[in-house]
Amino acid sequence: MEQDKTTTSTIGHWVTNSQVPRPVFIFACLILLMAGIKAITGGWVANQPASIATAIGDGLMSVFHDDKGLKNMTLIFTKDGRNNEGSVELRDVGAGLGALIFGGTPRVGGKLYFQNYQHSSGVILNGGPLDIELSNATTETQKAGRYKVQGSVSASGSNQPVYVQLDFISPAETYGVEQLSGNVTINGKTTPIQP
Amino acid sequence: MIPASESHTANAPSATARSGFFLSGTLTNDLTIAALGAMAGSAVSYLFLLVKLGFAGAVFVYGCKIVMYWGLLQVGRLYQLTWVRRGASLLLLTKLIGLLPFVITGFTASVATWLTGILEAIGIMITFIDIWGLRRTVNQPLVTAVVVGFVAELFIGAMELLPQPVFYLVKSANVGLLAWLFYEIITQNSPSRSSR
Repeated sequence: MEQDKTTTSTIGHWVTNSQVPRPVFIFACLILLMAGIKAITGGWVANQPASIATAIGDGLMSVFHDDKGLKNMTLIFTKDGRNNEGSVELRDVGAGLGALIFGGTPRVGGKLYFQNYQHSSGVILNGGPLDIELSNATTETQKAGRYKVQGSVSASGSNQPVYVQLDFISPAETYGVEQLSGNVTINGKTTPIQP
Repeated sequence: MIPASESHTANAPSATARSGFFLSGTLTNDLTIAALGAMAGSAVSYLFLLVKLGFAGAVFVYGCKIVMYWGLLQVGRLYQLTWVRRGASLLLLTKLIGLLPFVITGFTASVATWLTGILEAIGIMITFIDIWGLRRTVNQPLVTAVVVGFVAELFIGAMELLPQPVFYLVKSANVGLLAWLFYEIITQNSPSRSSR
């Protein structure tokens, strides 16, 4: 069947000896291209305060995205969660009883730790804990949570711990980081982050 | 395993004999849609690593998964592989249960997510172990690679052995191989190759 040229008509003449169907070949090239982009951007982009802030936000959301227990927030007692790679952990997530007893805005808090978390921007985060406070930011149009992050973390490119104070909103469907604001302090220099 | 695969060889498929068997007319159409759908979904889910695509992207990937499993069901029906048929049906059912967390939250959604994970693993084991029988009728190294790839993916995913970008590469490679298998089945069953 290797000699039957009519059956290889779907294959480009530049891969004549292979029997890979052309759509599969295109698909493989596309995936390798994206893997290449990922590899390059993963270790290349400089450590800007904005990318550190985004990395922390994305790291936190990766826990909510990957951890099936936390995903639906069925909190009865405190709960730990972590992301797929095990590089971000959220410990002691718990809800205050105040909202249940006295009525009011329910709040959830926890502590965020990083272990060699590599963000797509190239930032590598380590350490913690960062204090997390989660509250409901659901509007008529979308379900969302508001996250407040505060504490010190070590980031690649900075020899001192980076102190952050961040505030962002994440829609329940996308786990994206939106309207990110706050302050990032690197080596004593504070940079405000605007949404 | 061996007697089973011999019985598969005995039931050589006659794609043209059964009309009304394929949803889009012919085997070629059906499996082309399944292969293209599977690859499109896989490419988009890899793209998720690079850019945030949002809810529409997630729904698209989900739909493509359904198309891929439906292609497997058609392969099972074509070669009369009972367990591929059952496994693929189970996978399709899993995808329906998996829709629940999109619309509801809370305890029911947690149960649905948990159930989806387990049933999908069972479905993939059943389906791809029975596809092993196709080694006699279709390209042997290709079928071997598909089976080994999917079962390995299941274990790598469960044990969290690889970092996420590498694991996604494994998943994409598996989808690529499966699409290739679909094309191979199309080529084997097209009328011009009846001499085979």
